[in-house]
Amino acid sequence: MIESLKTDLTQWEIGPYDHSLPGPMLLRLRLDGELIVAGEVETGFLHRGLEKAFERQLWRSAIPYADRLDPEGAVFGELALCLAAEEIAALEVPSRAQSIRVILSELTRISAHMGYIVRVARAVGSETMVHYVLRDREKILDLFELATGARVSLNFLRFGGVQADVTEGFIERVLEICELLRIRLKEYNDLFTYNHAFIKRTRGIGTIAPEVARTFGVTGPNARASGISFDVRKEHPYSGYDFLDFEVPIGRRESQHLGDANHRFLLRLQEISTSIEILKQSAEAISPGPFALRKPEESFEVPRGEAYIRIESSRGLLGCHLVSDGGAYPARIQFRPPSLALLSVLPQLVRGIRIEDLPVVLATLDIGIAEADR
Amino acid sequence: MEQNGLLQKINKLVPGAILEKQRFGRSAELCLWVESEKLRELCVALKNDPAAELDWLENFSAMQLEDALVFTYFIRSTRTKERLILRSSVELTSPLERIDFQSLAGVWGMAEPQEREIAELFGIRFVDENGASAEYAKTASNHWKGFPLRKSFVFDGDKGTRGGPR
Repeated sequence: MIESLKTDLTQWEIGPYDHSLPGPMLLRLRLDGELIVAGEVETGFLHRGLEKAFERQLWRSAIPYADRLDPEGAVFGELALCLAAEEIAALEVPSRAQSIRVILSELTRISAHMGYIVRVARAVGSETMVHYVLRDREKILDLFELATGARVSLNFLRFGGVQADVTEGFIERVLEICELLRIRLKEYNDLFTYNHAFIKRTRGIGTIAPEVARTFGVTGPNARASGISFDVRKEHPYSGYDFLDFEVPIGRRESQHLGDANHRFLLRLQEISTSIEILKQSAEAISPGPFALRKPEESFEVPRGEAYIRIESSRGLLGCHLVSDGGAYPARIQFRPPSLALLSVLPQLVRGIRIEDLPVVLATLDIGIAEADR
Repeated sequence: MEQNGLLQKINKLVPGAILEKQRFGRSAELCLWVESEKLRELCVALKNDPAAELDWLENFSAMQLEDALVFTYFIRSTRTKERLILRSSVELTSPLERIDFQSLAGVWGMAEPQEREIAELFGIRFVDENGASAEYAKTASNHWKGFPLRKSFVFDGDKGTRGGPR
């Protein structure tokens, strides 16, 4: 009887809107029983024409648009745009403003990685972990609110500095949260990271081999989990990262599970530790002085020229190619989002895994559909 | 590899490929304007040459300058960390017509998603060495009328449409 059952391949479409997906996208899968034998990705459901929209904005009003590049890491889009414009205009950003930018960037990185932990925890069904991490992430959003007045889309960076000086008590609260997060990281590890059920669900699946990461241009924590030692903060330091003493965590090459879903998760936890270290150093060393070169309300135009800037966002290398014709509007702003490479590598990663592992692989990759679609 | 050495090597590997040598913005990185017909041949040579080993296409950007589309390739070596910017251009003929340009997806895998975007938003047909162009799934909303990142595109989103060519 069993021998007469049909065993043809079946075709599944997941999306474009599904809770297991990182955002609006369509996955076309071919399945042999529970095993995925082929996968295709279709994107574009969140495309907002952001790069066209930039061309219609005055320079100053382009910054809140850069926020929307990746809503989870709003400050990274702002920073890349500001650095590019400042390079063309040859603006020297004051030291205090640079420290504020680094503090906001690292808080954003921690916040984004905590969002990542939540998505991974949901994918493996650990609701307790979800609540613990969201509780702590709120404290970082409170800090954003204290410094900028906004919790998600900050719109706080300006060409030549930041919108305002940090509010009273902000630096002290940054140092407090560093201590709190150190304790919380241990708690996350005890509860979740070394839990045998979690390890079983994540080990050995969705592995990105180092050569695959290089071929597809994967960067950021996903590449570092595959043993690739590349971090823009070290390779092309910006905003004073070269004056800070920190180690970039890299996946252990001798590990037989290098680059798998579990490695990617562990590496992000280590990155939170690194960010805490950077935050502490920046907060302790912040110098008095101006927070901007110009008054925020002053109009600003970028002289004719072009620049290409790269920064390390929470997902990897974020590039910004900016062209100015000397006019009131940007001539061209192009972003190189790290998630684009992840979408290219995804069909390879899903091949050979079981359908039940798909949400785990997707969650551990941390694909930002908003930045990929733009 | 020294920049002069790199230029000599390029001239030897693919004679006539370089049209002009420039410095890119304030970073003053080496930027080479390349003959579009020889772009792929040059990129293959730069990737495979053991001294240059420019194996990573970090970014691929396109923009319209007057009546030409300019393509900028930011490439680097993962081993030596050397960087190079290559530029090439193609003339725009009509606002609605797609233009053929050499695809580099066969040289650097990471070119593929970026070519896919540029193909749709600028109206380019990227063709491989066999003259075939990839059929891409759409990357942008399907209600654009024309190619939104060309300067001829008029945005009239307030009227409920996404405009079209002027």
